[in-house]
Amino acid sequence: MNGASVAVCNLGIALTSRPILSKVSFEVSPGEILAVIGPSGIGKSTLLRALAGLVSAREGDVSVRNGAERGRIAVVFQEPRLLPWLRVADNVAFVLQGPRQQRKGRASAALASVRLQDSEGAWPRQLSGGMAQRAALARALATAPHLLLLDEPFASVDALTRMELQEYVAALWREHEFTVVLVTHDIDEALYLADRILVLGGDPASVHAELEVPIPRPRSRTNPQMLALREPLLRTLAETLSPPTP
Amino acid sequence: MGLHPSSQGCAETRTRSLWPSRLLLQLALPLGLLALWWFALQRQWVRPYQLPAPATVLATLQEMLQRGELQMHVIATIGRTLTSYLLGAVPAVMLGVASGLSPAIRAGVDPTIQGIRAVPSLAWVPLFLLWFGIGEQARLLLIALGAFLPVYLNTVAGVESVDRRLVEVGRAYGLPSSAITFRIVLPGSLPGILTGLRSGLGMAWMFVVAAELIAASNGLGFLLIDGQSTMRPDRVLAAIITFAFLGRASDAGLAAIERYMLRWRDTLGTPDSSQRKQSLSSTLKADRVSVP
Ligand SMILES: Nc1ncnc2c1ncn2[C@@H]1O[C@H](COP(=O)(O)OP(=O)(O)OP(=O)(O)O)[C@@H](O)[C@H]1O
Ligand SMILES: [Mg+2]
Repeated sequence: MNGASVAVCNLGIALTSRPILSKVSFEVSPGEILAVIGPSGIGKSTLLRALAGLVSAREGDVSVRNGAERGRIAVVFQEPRLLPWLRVADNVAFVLQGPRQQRKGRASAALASVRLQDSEGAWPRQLSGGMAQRAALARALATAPHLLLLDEPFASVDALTRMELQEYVAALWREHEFTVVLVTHDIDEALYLADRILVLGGDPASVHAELEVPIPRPRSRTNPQMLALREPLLRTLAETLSPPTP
Repeated sequence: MGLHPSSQGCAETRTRSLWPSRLLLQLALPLGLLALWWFALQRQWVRPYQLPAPATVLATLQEMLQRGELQMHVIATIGRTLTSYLLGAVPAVMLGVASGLSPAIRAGVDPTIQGIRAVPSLAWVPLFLLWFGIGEQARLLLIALGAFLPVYLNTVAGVESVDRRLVEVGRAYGLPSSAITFRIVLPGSLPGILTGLRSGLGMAWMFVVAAELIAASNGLGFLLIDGQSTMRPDRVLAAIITFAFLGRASDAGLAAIERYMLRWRDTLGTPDSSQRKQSLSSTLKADRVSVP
C-alpha cells in the first residue's frame, strides 16, 4: 500500500490570533481521494497547510501515517511557487532524492506528462500562469508521494487542459494508490475525482457536511449519478455562505 | 464568419532603434563640461595654476604612464583595495547570512554593528593609527571596515526579503535545512547580497583614498596629496581621472556579474525584458501609433 492515512482530531488553528479553524475532525484512509470545498476565505488552504506540517495547531492534532518520512508528502500550492532562480527542470529535480542524473530523468518525465517537455530549460518567469501551475503539479507527482495535497491545482488552466490533468492525476492515482486531499472550488471536479467530499463552513470553520461519492471508476463526466449529486452539493455549499451582513 | 480572424486595418508597426540618440544623450553632459572647462580657461575665469587645461592633464597622464609612475601607484591602490575589500566583504556576507537566518546570532551581533555604523567610519582613523601605527595594517583594516558595513546590512536585508512561501516549498517537501539554506534562502537573498557587494566596493574605493591621504608613500591617494603639496593640479586631476576610471570599471564588472547571476529575475533590468522597457517608453511617448 502506497497511501498514507491521515487523522485530524479536533483541530483548531488561529492565524495572527484570529481563529480560522475550530474543532475540525476527519480521517482519510490510505488510497482515498478526499475533496474539500467551501467558500473563499473559509480556511481550506490553511487546513492543507496544517496537513503539510506548515502551520502548527492551537488545539487538537494532525497525524499522517505512512507518509511522515522525508519526501513522502507532496504539495501543489494555490500559487505555483516555482523558485525563480531555477530553470523549470531544476525546479522539479530539486525536491527529488537520489543521484543527480536520475533526478533529472524523473523531472523530464514528469514535465513531459504535463506537456511541458519544451519548457524544461525555461525560467519560471517565461511560463504562463497555467504552465507554471502544471510545472508545480509535475514537481509534486515526480516525488511519487504517499500523500498528495492539492490546493486548487487546476484553477488557472483552460477547460480542456483541466480535464486532461484531472484524468492524468486519476490515472496515476489508480496506478500508485496514493492518498489525495484536493481543495477545489469546482464541484464537478470534486465529483469527478473524489471518493468523499468535505464541506467546510462557519466562522471559525469546521466540517459542515460530508458527502460520499459512490460512483464506480473509471468515471464518466456525464454519469447521471454524478449529475444527481450535484444538486444536494450545491445546496450544502449555499448553506455555508452566511447571509451578507448589511 | 465571425470565427475567422481579420487582419485588415493593421498597418505594419515599425520598430525604431533607439541607440544613436541615446549615445548622444549620454555624451552631451561630459562634452558640455569639457567645453566649459576649456572655455573658462580661455576667458581666464580660472588660472592654469588652479585648473590646468585638458591637454596639460592629458600630457601629464601620458608622461606618468611612460615613466611607469602611474602604473606603480595604480597597482598599489588596486592591491590595497582588493585585499581589504575581500577582508571586509567575505566575513560580512557570512555574518549577514548567519544573522539573517538566526535570531540568536542577530541579537548577538546586530546591536554592536549598528553602533559601529552610527560612527562615521573616518572617526576610527586616529584609533587605528594608535593601535597599528602608520602601517599597511591600519590602512587595510580601515578600508575593510568601510566595505564591511554595507555588505553586512544589505545581506541581512536580502535574507529577510526571501519569500516565505518559497521556504515553505522546501519544508513541505521535507528538504533538510542545509538544502533550504543553500538552494532557497541564499539564492533568494542574492539580489540583496550583490547590492551590498557593489556598494561595499564603492566604500572601499572611498576609504582607500582616505587611508592613502592620511599616511602612505604610494598609491593614487598619495599622488593626490603629493600633487597638492607640490602645487601640481595636473597631477591631482590625473589621479582623480584614474580613480574615476578604476571605480567605474570595477563597478561595471560587478554589475555584469550581477546581471548574469540575477538573469532569472523578472524586472525591468533583466536583459530580455528590454522589449517591455521599450514598449513602455513608446507607449508613454506614443511614437508607435500606426495609422491605417
Ligand atoms: N498568513 C496569514 N495571517 C493571517 N491570516 C491569514 C493568513 N493567511 C490566511 N489568513 C486568513 O485565514 C482565512 C482563511 O484563509 P485560507 O487561505 O485558508 O482560505 P481559503 O479557504 O483557502 O480561501 P480561497 O478559496 O480563497 O483560497 C482568511 O480569512 C485569511 O484572511
Ligand atoms: Mg485557498
